[in-house]
Amino acid sequence: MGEIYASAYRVLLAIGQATEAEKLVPIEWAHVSGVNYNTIGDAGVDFLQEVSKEVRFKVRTTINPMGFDRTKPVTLSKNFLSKQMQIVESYRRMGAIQSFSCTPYEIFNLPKRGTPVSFAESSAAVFSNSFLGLMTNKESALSALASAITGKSPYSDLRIEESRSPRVAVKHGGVAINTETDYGLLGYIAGKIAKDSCIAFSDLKSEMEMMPAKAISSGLGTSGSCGMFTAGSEQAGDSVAIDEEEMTRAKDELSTDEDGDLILFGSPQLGLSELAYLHDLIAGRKFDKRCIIFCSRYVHDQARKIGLAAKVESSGAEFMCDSCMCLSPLITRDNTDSIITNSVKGAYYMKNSNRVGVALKDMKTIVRTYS
Amino acid sequence: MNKIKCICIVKGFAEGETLISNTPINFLTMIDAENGEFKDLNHHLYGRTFRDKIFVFPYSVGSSVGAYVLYSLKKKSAAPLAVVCSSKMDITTASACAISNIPAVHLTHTSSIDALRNSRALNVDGEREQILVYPN
Repeated sequence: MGEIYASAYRVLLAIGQATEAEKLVPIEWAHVSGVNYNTIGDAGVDFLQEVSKEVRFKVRTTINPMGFDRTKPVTLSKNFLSKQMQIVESYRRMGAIQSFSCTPYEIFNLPKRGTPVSFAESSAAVFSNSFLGLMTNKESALSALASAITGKSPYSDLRIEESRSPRVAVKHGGVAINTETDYGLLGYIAGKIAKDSCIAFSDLKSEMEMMPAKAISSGLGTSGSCGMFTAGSEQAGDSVAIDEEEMTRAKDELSTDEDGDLILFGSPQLGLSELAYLHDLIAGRKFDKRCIIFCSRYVHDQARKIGLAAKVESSGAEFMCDSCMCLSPLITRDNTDSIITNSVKGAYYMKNSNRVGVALKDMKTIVRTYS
Repeated sequence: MNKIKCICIVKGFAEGETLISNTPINFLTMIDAENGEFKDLNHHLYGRTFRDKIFVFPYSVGSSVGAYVLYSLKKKSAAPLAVVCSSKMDITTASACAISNIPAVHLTHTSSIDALRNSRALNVDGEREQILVYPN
């Protein structure tokens, strides 16, 4: 076996030891992050190029969003374009499905519950563990890559049924959790609290619509190391209470501005149900600011087929496929002072990585205020 | 000189100045991928770098891509000499250190962090699974 395979096993050994695994198990699906040039830089470009000379993925492998929409005229630097396309080519050569999505669970056929997978995208790992019964640890870009290469992952932690029971419950009691942004904030706060890999939200209903489910998963993935949650009255040993003040503090941390120049929906990329909800809200009105919707090409094409995309576009909103909000090279301090978004994850990365101001508001409020 | 037990995740040996973060680290948003400097204004280590230090922190959080930040820094000779996770060894840190050949250990008892706090330098010995503490 070549050096790359040896490195992949070295990674699996290290994460296996870190999570006290006794063995490796076959996985059915790897979802790899580290596709956007903004996130992995030149060292990442060179690394993937080297790996791709030797390696073909052993299992179904999907990949995270890249930096821009392949079908739109691009305003980015030549350097960004060429580096981004080198990354895409490396993944293509290794046999990755060109998904460019952080929501693979909305696009592809799902394995049955209990199937071991290896998902790097934090929001997708949390969502798939918590709602789909897939079994993954909160993988890193490199550990999911190692699993794509070998077809294996450590049998440890959230891949073991017994570890999937929360020991600590978050209770939000009387705090109103209504909008998707509230759910995102609740996840974000819980991520900071959780030391274990699984946490309970004992005051939430176990049935959740897609939009809040994606929001709480991505909030949790953003702030913590926790890879799963349960909702409902399931018993957990200890509990931590969250009050209104904490919600306000989390919102103040992420929402730096009252207002912004540009509306962004994404992080995670929108699915059909969220597009339908947006369409119902906008109901013939027009956005008075530029509005960008990040979604996967699959979802966009489906929405186009059923006429939903055109209806949403009649509000003035535009689709941006293949890419997402986090570390998007399209939004910089040079061209934007502040953005408006309903996504807690988007707010965190826009503020901390893209270094622009953020006005965090739920989708309904955004549509009411800016159309 | 104090001797502290640890568990080795990525083998190696390193000695250098101590740098301790009291809070978990999101490598992608908190660390400058060019030079290893803390770029998060709200972090107590803002403006300092973990380059060539023994970097002690509870564990990493958030972005799965943070692993590439450590790898990039190693390529630029701006990575820590070794990392010590004081609370638990997470997958992002373990995988990044394994690929980058950065010695990585975690403490057997979280309370051992107190002994590291009053140190000027640490000697991390992955083979023997021990950390020598050079007091201030």
